[in-house]
Amino acid sequence: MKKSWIQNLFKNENTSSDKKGGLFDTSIPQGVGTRKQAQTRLQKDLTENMIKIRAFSQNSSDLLDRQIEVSGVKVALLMSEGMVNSQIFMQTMVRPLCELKLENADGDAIASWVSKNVVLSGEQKEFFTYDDLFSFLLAGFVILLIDGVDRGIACGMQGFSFRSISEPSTEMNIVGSKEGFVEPIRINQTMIRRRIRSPSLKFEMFPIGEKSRTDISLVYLTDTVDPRILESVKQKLGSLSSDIILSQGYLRPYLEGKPLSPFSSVGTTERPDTLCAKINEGRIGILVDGTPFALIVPYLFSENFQSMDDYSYRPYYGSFIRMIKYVAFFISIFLPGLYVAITLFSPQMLPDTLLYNIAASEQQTPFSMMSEALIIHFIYEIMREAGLRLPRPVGHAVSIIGALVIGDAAVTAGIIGSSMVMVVALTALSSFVVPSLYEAVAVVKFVFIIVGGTWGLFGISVGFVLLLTNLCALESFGIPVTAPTTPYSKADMRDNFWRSNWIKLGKLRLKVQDLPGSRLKEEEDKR
Amino acid sequence: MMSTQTRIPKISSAQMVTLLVLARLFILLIFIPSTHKSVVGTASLLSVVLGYLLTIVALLPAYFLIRKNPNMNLHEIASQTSPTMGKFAAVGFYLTCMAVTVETVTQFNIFLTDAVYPRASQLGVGIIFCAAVLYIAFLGLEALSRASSVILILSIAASALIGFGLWKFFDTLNIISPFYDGISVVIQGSTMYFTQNVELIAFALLLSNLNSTTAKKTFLKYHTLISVMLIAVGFASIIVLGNYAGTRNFPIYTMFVLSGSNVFYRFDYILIAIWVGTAMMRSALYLILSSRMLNELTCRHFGKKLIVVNTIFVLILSMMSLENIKLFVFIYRFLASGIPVYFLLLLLPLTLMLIQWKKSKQEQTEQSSKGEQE
Amino acid sequence: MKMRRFASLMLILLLVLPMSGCMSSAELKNRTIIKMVGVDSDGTDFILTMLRFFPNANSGEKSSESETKIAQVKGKSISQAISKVSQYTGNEVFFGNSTFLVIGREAAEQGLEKVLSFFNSNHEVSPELYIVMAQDKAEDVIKVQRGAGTVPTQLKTLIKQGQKNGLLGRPTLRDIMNRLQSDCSEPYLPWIDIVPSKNGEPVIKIGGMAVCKDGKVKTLLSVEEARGVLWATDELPIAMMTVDFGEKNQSRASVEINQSKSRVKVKIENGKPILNLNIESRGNLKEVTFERGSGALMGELEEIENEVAEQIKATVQKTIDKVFYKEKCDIFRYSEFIKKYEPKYWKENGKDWERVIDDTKINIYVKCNIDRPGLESKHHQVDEHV
Repeated sequence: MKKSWIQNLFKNENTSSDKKGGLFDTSIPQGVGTRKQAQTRLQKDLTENMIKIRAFSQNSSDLLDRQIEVSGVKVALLMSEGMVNSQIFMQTMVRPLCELKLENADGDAIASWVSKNVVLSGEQKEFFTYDDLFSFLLAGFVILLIDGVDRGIACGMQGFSFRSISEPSTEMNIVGSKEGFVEPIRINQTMIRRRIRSPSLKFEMFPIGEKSRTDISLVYLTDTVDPRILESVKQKLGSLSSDIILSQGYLRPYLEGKPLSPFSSVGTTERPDTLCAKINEGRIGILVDGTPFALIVPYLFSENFQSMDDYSYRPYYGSFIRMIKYVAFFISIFLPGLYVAITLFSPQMLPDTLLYNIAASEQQTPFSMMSEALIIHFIYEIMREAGLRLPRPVGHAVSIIGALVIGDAAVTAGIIGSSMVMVVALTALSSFVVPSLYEAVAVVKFVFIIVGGTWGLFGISVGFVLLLTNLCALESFGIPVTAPTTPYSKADMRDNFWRSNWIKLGKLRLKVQDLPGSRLKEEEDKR
Repeated sequence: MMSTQTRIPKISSAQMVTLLVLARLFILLIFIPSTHKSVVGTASLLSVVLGYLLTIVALLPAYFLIRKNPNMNLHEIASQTSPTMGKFAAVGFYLTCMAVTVETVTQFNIFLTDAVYPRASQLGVGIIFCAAVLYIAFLGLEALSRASSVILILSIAASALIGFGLWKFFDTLNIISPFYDGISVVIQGSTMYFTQNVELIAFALLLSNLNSTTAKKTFLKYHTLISVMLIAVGFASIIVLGNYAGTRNFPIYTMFVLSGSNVFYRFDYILIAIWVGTAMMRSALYLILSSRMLNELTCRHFGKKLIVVNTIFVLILSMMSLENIKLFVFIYRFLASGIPVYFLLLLLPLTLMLIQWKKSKQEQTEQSSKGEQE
Repeated sequence: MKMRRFASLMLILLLVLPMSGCMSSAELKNRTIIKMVGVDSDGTDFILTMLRFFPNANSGEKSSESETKIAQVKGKSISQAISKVSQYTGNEVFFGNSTFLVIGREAAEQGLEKVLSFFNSNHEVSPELYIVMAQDKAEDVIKVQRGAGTVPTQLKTLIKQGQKNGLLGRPTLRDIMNRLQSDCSEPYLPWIDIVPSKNGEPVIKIGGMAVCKDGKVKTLLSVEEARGVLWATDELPIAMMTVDFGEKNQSRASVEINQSKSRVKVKIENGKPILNLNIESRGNLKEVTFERGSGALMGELEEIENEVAEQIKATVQKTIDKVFYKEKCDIFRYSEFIKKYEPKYWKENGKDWERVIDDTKINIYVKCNIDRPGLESKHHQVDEHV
């Protein structure tokens, strides 16, 4: 085949168009897969394109191609097996193409007919490089390649199977929607769009990850969000160096604020209604294809204690529940440490009878109080993890063993004291009240046990102050994570420790970037 | 991108007030009658009121100076007026801040090992405390001020709760006339109130960190709040403890112990948390300020590494003063005698205003001579 | 830079961890928890009797409070005696949860401060430690407590109820130290008596109040006299008064005083202080019995009130005479009253307190009001002619 001058222009050094076909054709770039190499333009010759495509995809078995003739012109239809809705494909794509009868048709005519005269699918795009071809192909598009045309047409008719919308597994609520996100990003986008029917809701989608090309979508309201935060998020995500992005957790470290803290400055949610509420306050949601969890930035500490249920209840009960959450959080972090510290260093703080009971129960145990606490909490964490990873039929056995191991048996065998069991149980229950903080609580609790056991109440106080200062130093995209508690803002406190009723909440619009102490506000004031 | 390298941390007026109040509360809580000179009894209450007015009057020169140069702290004004004055001022501020930090660490150490953990090793407590304060100082002024608001609120809540528990012990028999020992005692107390108020120096250095130009209001808020708290706590201790206060080395701690046994069982250990928080915030504040001053002196902008250097100094000095009680008393007397406050808050502003006035006069004569030439 | 900083901080903290021995921690099983302490003196040494908590070996669960043992040690000072305890229990002694300190008669007469100095400076001891005096030896009281089975709840209940019922004042460590530290006020303690009960087992009983002078126990007051003290110092919660009234004193009434306020006003007349003690009591009428019938008329209420007031005045007067004038013990804190209200007089004369006592005149004015006459009303008229 004669080389056209276009081919000369975009010649790839490794290719030579002398030999074609075959597995060991040296003209086919071997071991290819890198995007850089795939960024060559399409050829006009359909056969060459097909060869290159097969080479890039290593002749993968799930790449289906079918060559047909439409009005005398060779046309290739490419799709990924299992990703296309075959019914729609047959109806909207194959039938019109097969029924097309153009006279003196050549590649360009067919291409222009496809582009202008017919609608093969809701989403129809043109592309010019192999890279884009694979992006579309592997996203479930049907690729239309026409002989004699050096561009391709991608038609969206995805029909892969996915998990149906079900109740979110991590964020339960009683009174409220039971829809949770699912894996495909587009369905999540639909769920959000259905809840905020405003034209200012914008989805900005782009792929990240060298190999995985995972779609992520930034969700925000254009009239509420601060463009500087948006810019910052895009910049941070653009500097990703990961090959594969498989879950939202891979993105987190790039978005976290400083300093290093056990608390997170990036939030996650599995519920579309929560995400919509957050977006309305000027935050940005990040949906990741393949994960039912969305990220939310910027994230404040008080949001850990807010849940959708709070807003469905009456304000007095919602506030009461929120208070309980704060108390439970403190109990889950400090109770074991305090227990160890008090019994070891200052037993005079306990009432007489309690002290006698604890002393009697600790009389027989072989370990010191601190070791006992560490051991039993460690065993609890093992049990919890085992319960998570177990297949369901075996679940019953774990609960029985747990009750036996930690409950009666350990106490009767004299390994731990019965009051310690009480402490463990209470701590564990409290840590489940605020699930988003579980990571921080589980680890910090051990630190406090050690600190309380070695330095007593003094150590726990020092630890508390350090933890508090660390939390106060944490900033999420320029906004202090402890706002609006400190720096204080009276108006914004209406949803912090208690929940004011909706009339009050609805009056003022809270915008995250306007919180006191945020650097964005500072920069604005400077101007 | 939001860069943090050369950014001056900004805190709001309310945060500044809480930070300074918390720092001052430390003195209130840790009070050793044997080593600390002070006025006891009802005379102290009256002297607080007089001291309040006296402080306002004494700070007038500084006020006028600061008004002319908004949003600059005292040291910056000094170095702007004349570099040598700036250096002197930096040295003075550095010594004062270091002395305060050492005093805080030492006093806290003494309290903890005397009243609460008698068998604890002072070196251990000192190292843990200094390491924690180092970390807080690294986190920066903003984090410090935010955390201090939380700690102050918790302290006030706990103190109020404990105050309720004390009503049973109110004994008006202990209130005797403030003039029992004569009026000179009251006046002495009010001057001491002014000279012991080291937080004024901290305030003067933190002026550049205020995010608005409400220096006067901030100062008045802080001053009023702390005076009210001092009066409240002093009143409570007189009414409740009376003569018993003299037998115990840490009377305020004793008050908390009493109340605790009334309301909850031995609630007094909550006080330890308050104390630890107060002491740490105070030390961290002065450590940051002294590192800043050292930074200015060395002119090399080492940044945060100087905080480590200062912490090591503080640790060594506090260990030395624990061994050698004379050193501790010397540092305390240095601060209590008022030399830093007089120098830095009275003499320095006056000198600076003098220099500025002279300079403006010189410029005037130059201008007029130029005008004549033309 | 951040990671390095964090790592160096962790390193520092880890290095400090081995210093964990620097804080005074002790496992609960290594502490000897003392429930009650008794201090006796045999002239030169102190004998300490301690009731310690000793859980049974086979109880892995809740223990009852009756698991106790007695330890007795002797030493030149209290601290020395206590250090001997660890010789045979191997544990360190822990006073943090002690509720009672019983001082033997001899030790109390030698001086309270000698005994209390240890407990005052011990940071673990609560200032609300109850201090009582034993009639003879503290160890008897403690042994009785142990034998009684439930300990020291009995004593605790006794003291608490005694406070409520107006038998005792506030005998806590704090109060006593407060008074010991003041110029001239004296502390008082309740004293405990051991009496044999019907089945021969000894039982403890509140005997009254022990009054100190110069920090040493001087006299013992009975329960009635102790009441007088409490009335005068405004610390009486309730009291039951029984009076005879009517013609030929044939009627008897019982009044429960449930509110009593006393105020002291100081005046200086002719260079001598005059204290006016005003006592106002309010009470309820509990029962009225006549020779024939019961119940009271409104008119008789006033008579009852006056009788009660007279009785209160008599009690207080008797107590003041005995304690203040005769023994010259100022447990009423009148010295502090004078100091507060007449500071000039105090400055001149305060040093010679005994002379001031002689000069002082105390006027007692008592008023009693019966609020509720009870449910009974008089239904049988006393026939005057009979």
